[in-house]
Formats: sequence, C-alpha cells, structure tokens
Amino acid sequence: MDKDQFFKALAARTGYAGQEPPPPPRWEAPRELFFGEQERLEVFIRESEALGVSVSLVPHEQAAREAIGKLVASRGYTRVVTAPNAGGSIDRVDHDEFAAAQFGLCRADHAVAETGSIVLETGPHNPRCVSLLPPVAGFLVPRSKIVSRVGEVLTEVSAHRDDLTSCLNFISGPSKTADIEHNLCVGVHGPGEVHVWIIENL
Amino acid sequence: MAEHGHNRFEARVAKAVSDGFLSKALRRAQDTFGPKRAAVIESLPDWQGWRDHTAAVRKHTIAHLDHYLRQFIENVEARGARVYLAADAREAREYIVGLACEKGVRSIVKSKSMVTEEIHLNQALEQQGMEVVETDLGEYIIQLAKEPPSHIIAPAIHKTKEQVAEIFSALAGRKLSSQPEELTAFAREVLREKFLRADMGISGCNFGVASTGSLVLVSNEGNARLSTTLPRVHVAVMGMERLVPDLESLDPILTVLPRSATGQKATTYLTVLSGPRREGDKDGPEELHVVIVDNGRSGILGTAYQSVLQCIRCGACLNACPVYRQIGGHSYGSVYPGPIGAVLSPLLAGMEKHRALPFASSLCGACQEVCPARVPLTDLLVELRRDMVCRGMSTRRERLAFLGFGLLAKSPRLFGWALKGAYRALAPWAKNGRIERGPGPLSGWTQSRNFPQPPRESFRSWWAARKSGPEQGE
Ligand code: SF4
Repeated sequence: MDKDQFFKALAARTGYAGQEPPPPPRWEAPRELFFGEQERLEVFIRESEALGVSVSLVPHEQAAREAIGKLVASRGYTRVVTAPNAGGSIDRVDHDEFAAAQFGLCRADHAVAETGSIVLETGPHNPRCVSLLPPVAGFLVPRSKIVSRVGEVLTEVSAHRDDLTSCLNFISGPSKTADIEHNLCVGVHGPGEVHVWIIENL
Repeated sequence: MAEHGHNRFEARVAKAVSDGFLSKALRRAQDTFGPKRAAVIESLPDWQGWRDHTAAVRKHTIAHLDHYLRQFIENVEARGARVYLAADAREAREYIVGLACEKGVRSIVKSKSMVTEEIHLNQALEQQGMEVVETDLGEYIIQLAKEPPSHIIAPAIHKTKEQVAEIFSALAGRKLSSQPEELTAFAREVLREKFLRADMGISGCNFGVASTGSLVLVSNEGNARLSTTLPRVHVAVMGMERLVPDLESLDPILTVLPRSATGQKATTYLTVLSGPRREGDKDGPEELHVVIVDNGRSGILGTAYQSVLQCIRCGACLNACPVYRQIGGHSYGSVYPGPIGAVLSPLLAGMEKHRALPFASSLCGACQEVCPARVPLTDLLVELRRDMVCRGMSTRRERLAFLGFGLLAKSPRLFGWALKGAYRALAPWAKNGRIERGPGPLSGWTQSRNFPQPPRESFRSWWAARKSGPEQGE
C-alpha cells in the first residue's frame, strides 16, 4: 500500500492531522502499593511463594553459591548452564545443548514485589535461553534490586531507553497452563521449577 | 468460509446449547474466571482508577493513532526490523507467505494470536507446503482437532480431557491417560522438538510501544518466548490499533490485563522485544519483521464506533456475558466471539456478514461493567442495531421484537405493567428465584438453562425509588 496516502487518510480520520499530540496521560499509582524496604522483601517472598517458587534468603553471594552447589549435587545434575552475569561463561548458545541442560542460572536485574516477578535485561551477559530452555531455572536476586511495582521498572528502563535490551523479560513463577479443563499444570514450555536466592548484602 | 446469515447463526446456537459438555464447560469457565477476577480486583486499591487510566491511555493513543503509528514504524525500523503495513487480510497473508518462501522456510511455530486467525494465515502457509504448528497448548489441541478457537483467552475450553487424550493418543501412536499433567508433558515434548527445528516463529503482539519501537507479548506457557527466540526469523503480526505511546503507559494496562483475563496479578511471562538479535547477543532471531494489519480498523476511526479500538483483548467480557455462557464461542461464527466479537466482527468484516451478532446480546450491561478499558460495549451494540435497522438489514423477527419492545419502552406505564406481569405470570414455575422448567415459549429456553425469575420489583421501580434517596458511588 502507499504509506503516504495511508497516513494522510488516517490523519483525516483522527482529526488531528499533523498535530503533535499532548503528552500521554499519566497517573500516580495509589500509595498503598509502594512498600518500605523491609516490606518489599516480605511481599516479594510471599508473592513468589504463592506462585510456587522456592525462595531462600542468603547473607552474601558466597552463601548463594554454596546453596546452589548443594542443590545441583543433591539432584545429581551434570548439565548446568550459567549466564556470564552469574559467574559462568558462554561462548555461543547451542539450542540443543541448552535444551538438554538440567538447570539454568542467571542474575536478575530487577525484581518486583507486588507480582513476585524476576526481571531480566537479557543480552551478552545473560542470553535468553538460560532462563528458557532448561526445565529448572535459578535466579540470583540482589536484595537492593527489589522494587514495589512493575511501573517502577518500566520508568527506569525507559530512562535508559537508548541502551534498551533487545529482550526484556518479566518472569513470574513457573511456566503454566490451564488449557485442559482448567487444570493448572506447570512446566508446559518454559521451566516448571523456579528457585530464587535473595542476596541480602547486595 | 461459512455463511454468516441469521439462520446459520440460529443453527450454530441450537447446536451449541444442545451440547451437554459444552454447556458445562462454559459454565465452569465463567465460574472459574469470574470469582478469580473478582478476588484479585478486590485486593487491588482503586480498581476504578486503574480502569480510568487504562481507558485514558487507550483513548489518547487511538485519538492520535496516525502520529503514534508513524512513530512506532520509524522506531521499529531504526532498531533494524522490517515493517510491512497491510491494508487488508490478503495483503498481510501474501506478504508473510512471500517472505517465508523467500527465506526458504519449511516449518513454522506460532504463538497464540487472534489477528493471524483474522487474516486466515495458517491455511495460506500450509498451501505452500509449509508446516505450521500452533504452540499454545489450547491452540495446539484445536489445531489437531481442526476447529477454530472458542474463547480468546482459553481457545480449547470446549474440549474435555478425554477428547484431548484421544487426539494426543492418535498422534503418539499409543494410549495416553486423560491426566492433564500427562497430556501437558506429552505436548511439551512434541512441541519442544518443533521449536528447536522451526525456521520461522510467528507471534502476535499485545502492544507496540511507539516511543521505543518495542513489541510487548504476554503469555503463561512460555511459548511466546520460544517462538520469538529460537527460529532465525521472527514475524510479529499486529492489529494497527494495538499501540501505546511509551513504556510508562504500559503500567496501568499491565495492571488490569492479567487481572481481567485470568485473575492473575501478572502473567508468567511478559516480554518486551526491541529489534532482532544485536551485535554481541548470543541468541535471538537474526531477522524481525513486523506486519501491521489494518483490515477494516482505519474505517472505524472517526466514527461512532471508535471506542471499540480501546479494547485490550482481555476476554473479561466473554466471561461475564450471559449469552456467551449459553451459546459458546463458535456460535458467533466469527474470529472474535462474545460481546467484543459482537461489536468488532460486523465492523471489521462487514455488517452484512455478521448481521445477527449485535442482536446476540441481552444488553444486560455485564460486559461493559467488567471491561478494564471501559469500552462502552452495550452502547456500541445499540448503535450497531440502530445502524442496521436504518440500513434495512434487520430481519423481520428482529424488527417485530423491536416493535414490541419499542411500544412498551415508549409508554413507561405499559413497560412497567409488562415487567410486573412477567413476575406474576411466571411465579408458579419459580423455585428460589430460578425457573427450571418454564411454560410454553420458555420451555425451549429452559431445556438447557435456568431462566431467572423476573424480579418482583423491576429495575425501573427500584430506580425510581432509589433516585429519591442519597446518591451512591459505583
Ligand atoms: S472489550 Fe473490554 S472486556 Fe472485552 S476483551 Fe476488550 S478490553 Fe476486555
């Protein structure tokens, strides 16, 4: 189709032809939705657990590594993928290899208390497939990165929109479906099991 | 394509209401979604405010759609993606089929998208010998069953687990149990292989962000992430009205959408894609194509129906609709069922084709009351009816019903009597306010559902009495 023609016709229909619109409407979310530091942590844990996520609070990163080591050993995992931002190194992503992995670990860039969400700005330091292909996903969450609401993450990401990642992900609990007679089943396409280690001193 | 005249509509309805399982499934769907939605809304401070803000953002975007669409296209292109603006379904189909041929595509994975249903994309690709696999579990089930979706959020709600087991067993070549967990695990295994081998991923787009050129996708299963990450080419197909000005504007929409759709505070995955794989990225598609579909939408702009474009496709109006509860999604004979479908389908595909749909509503207002984007669905239905009657498109029966209703409505006294008369006339059949087996003309209706006993005090007399009292908020 002829784009210019199309836009001319469209502008005639909206009745604002060629005019810059006023700024988009903004609204302050109710104050009750913003939590203090301690409450943010508590709400994040509560909401994550409600989604079926296993949450541990650890004093520092070393403690998280030890806990993860124990989990991997106790489950007998031999194929683990770790994102560079969680201390691993990945040269290239082979889809089949990642799909055969048993556990994927990466670091969250933000977390949202209200919805129990992990936020990943995926990229070279955290490829998309780490948190997508293995059936069990693990996330390191620095305590200071927990905010109250999704809107806060959007505002922050928007402020740095010149270096916006090609893929921003909010992940809230395990992959799930209720498509068969409304029965909740987890792990349909993404990871069916999610572990979170909140690092208190970060 | 099936014929969409009134008689066909009635035939589809008759088939639907005589299907025992369907009736049960529809009731269960509404009785599951409804209370879940109510509970999660109850716990959110200022629900009405969130709705207002969602509606304001959508209204603003639609009012300046030419501006935001231009900005969106520029920014998508600046991120290294290709944009194609399709005037109608045919153009969109031909572009995508041409692209797939050019790229030597043999297999395609799709994540749930209503607009690709609207443009009948799958058939066109399959005709070229390409394999097209729907990957949302519900969509996959109905694709194997060769049926269209019956609900915009839960496409396979009309299928029993035994039916699903039968379909999957045929595919597996062995007998699967009807345990939903086992069936889900089987689908994961089959579809994972498809994801890993596909050359192209086709997704919808819940929202496009004008200021950043980003595509926003929500899903619970993770299939949208897989379809947009693994194949080397990603094609996103979107209706041209599905924009927001900027990332901040997503806040209210993402707050109301999952709550309204499934009673969740957030869907499992919310993905914001900005361009294809970048320099240094180790995964993600090499190419991104964004196909923006008009297909009748610009014709709605600037008319009395403009507000229908505010819709965020949450499906809440389906879950609240007493007519959808009885007749199910297929009865509508259109891609978009329920109250939103009854308004949107005649506007997109032509009033002639869907002339029965605006009449498939009792105008009870339940849809309008739940709509998080404040689409005035009931008003739009009434407007459509008026429009159709003016164009001489309503059937004799509808006109007669209207004439009767019109006469009654014109005389408030007569109307009041008619309502009171209904209460008295039906009282002998009523039990606890429901009429389980109605007399004469009602028996057809009550064979498959209860008819609410007309209230002793009609809405009109209640309203008259109430008006003299203090004003109440919503
Ligand atoms: S019309 Fe409103 S309630 Fe219905 S799908 Fe659209 S946004 Fe949801």
